[in-house]
Amino acid sequence: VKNRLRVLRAEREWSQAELAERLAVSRQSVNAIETGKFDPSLPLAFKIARLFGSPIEAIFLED
Amino acid sequence: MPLLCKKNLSPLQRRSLAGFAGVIACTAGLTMMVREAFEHVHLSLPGIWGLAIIAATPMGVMVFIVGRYLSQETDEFVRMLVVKAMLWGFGVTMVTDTIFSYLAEYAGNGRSNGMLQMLNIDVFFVSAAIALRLMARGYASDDGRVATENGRAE
Repeated sequence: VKNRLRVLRAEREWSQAELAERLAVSRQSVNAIETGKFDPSLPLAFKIARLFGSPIEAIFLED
Repeated sequence: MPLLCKKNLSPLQRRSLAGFAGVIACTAGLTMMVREAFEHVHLSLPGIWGLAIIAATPMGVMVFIVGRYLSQETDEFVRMLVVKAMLWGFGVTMVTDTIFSYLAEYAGNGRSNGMLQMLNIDVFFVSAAIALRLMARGYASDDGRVATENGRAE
């Protein structure tokens, strides 16, 4: 699953560490999700969507 | 920064690592005591069973600590890494044990005197720790295009 996490994060000028703190996960988690190496669970995806104020499908895209 | 760098550890991770350290220390102590008992004390069958079970106790404690850690860890990515590392640990331990058991039995290397079984927990810890470290390193950094800490929108 592709995602726009990195773009959304950069638009807000947040570092990976800042985003990780807001999501209460490790920075490695954010990096792994951004690079597509790890697909988040639905609860985390919802949390990300809530944080960015966008629907899940606007952040996570099918390959 | 590596995932398990000490500065980044959560209280739960610190507690669990302290537990692992305790288990390793207990294993070393128990291994020596049990070995001494088997070598120098004449034991009845229940005594032998009892000592064998005592020697295996650290494995049970270790599984308990890992289980507790996994149930309390809120970061699903870290949980996945730990589970993968555990699988690597179990895999490496089984492969090592199988190879050396056959070598001890059929390749003229003599009896293993139970040493292999006693070393299982050490092989497991070392291989799981190495696997965790390598996986964490692999996920923690990538090429400059995607892993910049303060990446800008493309």
